[in-house]
Amino acid sequence: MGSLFSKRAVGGHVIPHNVTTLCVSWLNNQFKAVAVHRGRVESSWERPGESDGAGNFEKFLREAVKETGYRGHTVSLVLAHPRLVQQLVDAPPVKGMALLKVIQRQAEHQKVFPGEAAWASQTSPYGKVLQRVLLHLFPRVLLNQFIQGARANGLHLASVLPPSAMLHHQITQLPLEKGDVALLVAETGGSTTLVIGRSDGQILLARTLTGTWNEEAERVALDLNRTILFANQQYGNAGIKGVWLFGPGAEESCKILQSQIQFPVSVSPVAYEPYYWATEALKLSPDFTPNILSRQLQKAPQRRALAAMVAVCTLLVLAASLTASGYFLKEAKLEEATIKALSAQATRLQARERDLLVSDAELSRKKQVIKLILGERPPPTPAWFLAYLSEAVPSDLVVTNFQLKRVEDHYRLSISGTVQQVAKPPPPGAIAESVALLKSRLSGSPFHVRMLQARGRPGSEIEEPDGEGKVPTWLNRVANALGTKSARARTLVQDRFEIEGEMR
Amino acid sequence: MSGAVPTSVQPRAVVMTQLRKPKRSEAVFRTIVVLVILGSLALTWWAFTMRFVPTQNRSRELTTAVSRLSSELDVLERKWTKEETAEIRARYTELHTQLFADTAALQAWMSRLEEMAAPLSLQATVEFGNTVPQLTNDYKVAFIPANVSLEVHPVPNSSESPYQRLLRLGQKLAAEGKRADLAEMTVAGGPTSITKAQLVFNLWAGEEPVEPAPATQNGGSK
Repeated sequence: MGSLFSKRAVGGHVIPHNVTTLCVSWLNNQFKAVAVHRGRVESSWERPGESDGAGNFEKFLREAVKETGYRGHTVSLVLAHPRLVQQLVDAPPVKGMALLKVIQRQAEHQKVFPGEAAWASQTSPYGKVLQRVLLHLFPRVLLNQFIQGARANGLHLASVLPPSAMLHHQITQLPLEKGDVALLVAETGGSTTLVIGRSDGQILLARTLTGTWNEEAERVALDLNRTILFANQQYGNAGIKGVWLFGPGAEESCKILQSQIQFPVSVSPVAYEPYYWATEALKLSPDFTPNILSRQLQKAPQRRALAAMVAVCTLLVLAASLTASGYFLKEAKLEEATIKALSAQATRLQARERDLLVSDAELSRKKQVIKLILGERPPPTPAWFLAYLSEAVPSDLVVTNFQLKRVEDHYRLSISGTVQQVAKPPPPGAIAESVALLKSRLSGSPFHVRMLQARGRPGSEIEEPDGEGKVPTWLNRVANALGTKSARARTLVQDRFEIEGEMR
Repeated sequence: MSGAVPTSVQPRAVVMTQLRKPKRSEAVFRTIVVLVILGSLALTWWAFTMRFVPTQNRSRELTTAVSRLSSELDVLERKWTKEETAEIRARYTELHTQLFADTAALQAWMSRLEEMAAPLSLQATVEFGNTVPQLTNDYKVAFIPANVSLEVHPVPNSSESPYQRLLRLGQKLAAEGKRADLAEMTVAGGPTSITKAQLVFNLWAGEEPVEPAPATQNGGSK
């Protein structure tokens, strides 16, 4: 298959090294085959007897493969057939696809057989206004038979060439001066093929005549003269310098033809060999050879190989895509399994968290309740304070009223009393000193009572009753010094006192 | 004609061969190739961007969420030690023993008060005030102010003064098992001793709440 992609370096006088093919020359009833392997002729074979009928191509080819031991895949055909004809047609001065379409129309118009025509064309030198094209026409139905015949033998028909292609090439090998025009005539298995061309490779005309010089030399000579006349008419004196004969019986017929043709007639210097057509066809450059097979058919193996490669690449892309997609889907499935496991774990953790939050709330609530009921239980401070009074109250004083009341977060204290009833009344100021002492004790440890002013008597620490003696000023200072600044002692009529305060 | 040597000139004619329309099978083949390639790319794109990436992102987010949840659980589990939990529950269980559960408990307290006051020649009269509820979550706790008025009667041939008897009564009441906070004490006396006293107790009453179903796990068990 590798040779399918290699370009043939042909066009010289040897078969290129990369050519492996079975080249068949089927010139009318003459069927010859040459097996070429890597540019070397390995074997050749000529089918004995008459070989006629396009439908027999498959059989003939099978015999050729068998007889030559050919191992390749392609077959080339040099064909001389009564239906293979050449036409010189005029075309407008266009190029490319436009010219191709013109030639296509001309081929359909010029064909002399029913059915579709397979064709190849060669451009001739320009005329004054129009360009000329040499058309090789062959019935497509016969060509398809050749293709199918080759395919039936596992071969690919790579080319179908008229013998004129080899003659065109041979003209360049004739001993001509530059610009000389020659008429090369060849015997092609019962027919006569002629080509008029220049030494520079230009082709002017190609024709196939029925009969050969070996059988009807005079008629061939007549046809040659008519052809020369036609060429001169078409090209305005083509300038033919001579006529060369090629093929079996050329030397013998040369004199006969010379006697009837005004131009010099000679035998081609190119040696004729029995397998000339088959071997010479392989030396031609495909780019300058009229191949009746279309480009698509010529490149069918390459196209099949390319299609196979594209198919393989497509399958590889598909496989890679499926693999990658499978991988991604598998990973996604694994991730989904992970998600499922994580979801279950998250659910468990959330349930656990809910339990813990409930438990936390319960413990916090219980702790709060415990603190409220057990932790904040106040001591029996009023009872303790009452007991402490027996120690704190000076002996010359008597507490007549005592009240200790809890107000919000502290205790409110109210004490009132009088002096002890004794026979001898105390000296003035003694009561105040005792009250101050009492207040001093209450303000100290353990209860730290903060003394307050008597309610309803703001700004007055000691009130003197009307008409009674005043409390000395120094006693007032002592009372303030021992108590707090806000303390207030009120001495009533020398033997009563009242203390108010608060404590925590 | 001359005797020039053969040249190596190549044929120069431009060769053209016929065109052939592409076969339908070729068009079908090309279409299939293009469709297969596009389909493959689309399939890969779909599997990657529509299935794999979103699932992976969701998995990562969930992993992060689980990790965060685990951390929060660790914090919650470390918040309460096993010993703390047991102690709180035990103390909570004993809580109701400190509270007056019902009217019978109050009657019992009054009876004990009278029993303690009588030997001390103290005549006790009890008046209950309005209930003051306390703020708790679900434990119904309130205190009931109990105004205890004491009339001090003289006791012939007794070495204890009224003041001492009142102190003894106060000590006994303070030693009561139920929570009875002495909130106010008012004592009035004459020139010789105490004649009457008024004690205000806050009697804590409470109703044991219905325990919610225990947590499935032992909260704060660590």
